[in-house]
Amino acid sequence: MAHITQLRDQEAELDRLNLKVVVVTFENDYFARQYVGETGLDWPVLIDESRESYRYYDMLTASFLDLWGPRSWWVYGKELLKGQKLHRATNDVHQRGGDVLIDPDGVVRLHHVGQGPADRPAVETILAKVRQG
Amino acid sequence: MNNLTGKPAFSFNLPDTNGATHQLADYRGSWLLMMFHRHLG
Repeated sequence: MAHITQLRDQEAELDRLNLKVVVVTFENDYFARQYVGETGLDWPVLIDESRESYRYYDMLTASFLDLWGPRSWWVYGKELLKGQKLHRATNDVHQRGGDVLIDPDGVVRLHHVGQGPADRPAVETILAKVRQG
Repeated sequence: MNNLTGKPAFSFNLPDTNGATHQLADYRGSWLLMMFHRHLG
């Protein structure tokens, strides 16, 4: 959630750079709608239950250490301290996430597969790639 | 991991939570950041 919050803080800059954002989930429509309702997210949340796009970007199965290692507990602890509600996962907790930045011609310019819950590229790294063109 | 930087993006065609369909082609001419979630927790 911190990654999304940091991106939301840059919304004016995203508009200026003509950078659109979508969130992709493999969970079903019910959970996705619930998530949108709770977070107030106004970016599109795309549902990929077949995980075809996840597979294309090599976002496969996370290891036990990625999921339950100290780094994960640190991240979840920080979220709880901020008042973020955590839910019991009802779907595949082993599925990896990540970020993919695509340029206006449809070419991947940044491909980041997360090794754990908080492993995302820095927002400034993403914005710098776009500014470089 | 097979890093796809510099390669063509996946040509997706996916519904959103409002029932609208999104395709990669819809975003031609714009930069697009796709944030792939783990579980929605």
